[in-house]
Amino acid sequence: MAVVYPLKLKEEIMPIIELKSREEHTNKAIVLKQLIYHSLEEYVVTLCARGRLSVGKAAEILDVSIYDVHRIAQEKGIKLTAAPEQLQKSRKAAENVLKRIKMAAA
Amino acid sequence: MYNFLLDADALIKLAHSGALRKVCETFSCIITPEVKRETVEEGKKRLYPDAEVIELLIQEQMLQLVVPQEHIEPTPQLHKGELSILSLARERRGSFIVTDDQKFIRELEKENQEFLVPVEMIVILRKARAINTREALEYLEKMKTYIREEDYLKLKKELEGL
Repeated sequence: MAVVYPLKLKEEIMPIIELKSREEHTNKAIVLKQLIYHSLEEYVVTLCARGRLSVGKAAEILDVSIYDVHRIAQEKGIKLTAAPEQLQKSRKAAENVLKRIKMAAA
Repeated sequence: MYNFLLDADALIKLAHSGALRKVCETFSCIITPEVKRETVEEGKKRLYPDAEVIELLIQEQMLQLVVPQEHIEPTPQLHKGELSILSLARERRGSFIVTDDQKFIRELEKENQEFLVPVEMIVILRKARAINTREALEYLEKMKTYIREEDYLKLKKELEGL
């Protein structure tokens, strides 16, 4: 659902927005939205990297696929992976799995 | 033996690394219809080739599709896919959730739900002798883009020593 949000902008930036809209054969509102979404992508992916949002939720907010969230993260040099302490817990769980596999094989 | 419940994040990373088929051949791997939608349907729409890898494994029944009995409402931080996997884990006690999602893992820790990160599946495959060192390093190399440099180097050294 779209929301209308009134925004005050410095007059000095409008010629730049105008230039971009001409170069890209689009209108100023779309240029402004694109600039906002571009920053939003980075912010949302950063929230994922900090464990504030899940990757699925990030995809929903940005209206993209989870594949796209990973692509955006890679483009921005952001790693979406477990925290170091979580990796340690995963390692302990893996050791348990391997122990049980060896017992089953014996 | 164990059920491994994979979220979309894990599925995509394992598919991209090339290890997913081997993981599904070796272990009982399960996903939900919501995870299938996130990885196969959304992936195919956008022409991501890993989507077809996942779809084929589902068609071959190497990756099982199970509908959780209980639906957990999405929250502001967690999405339907992750929550469907959590719901299934609550039904199938003793399962491991495979995910690399920090936020999701924090929720799993609150419930003492065991989890494994996708790259750990490669280490398990190697230590269980389901793959050789060369294969393990190849999978790790393809997963490098998703993991921290220091973790990649540590794992590479570990796998080379096996």
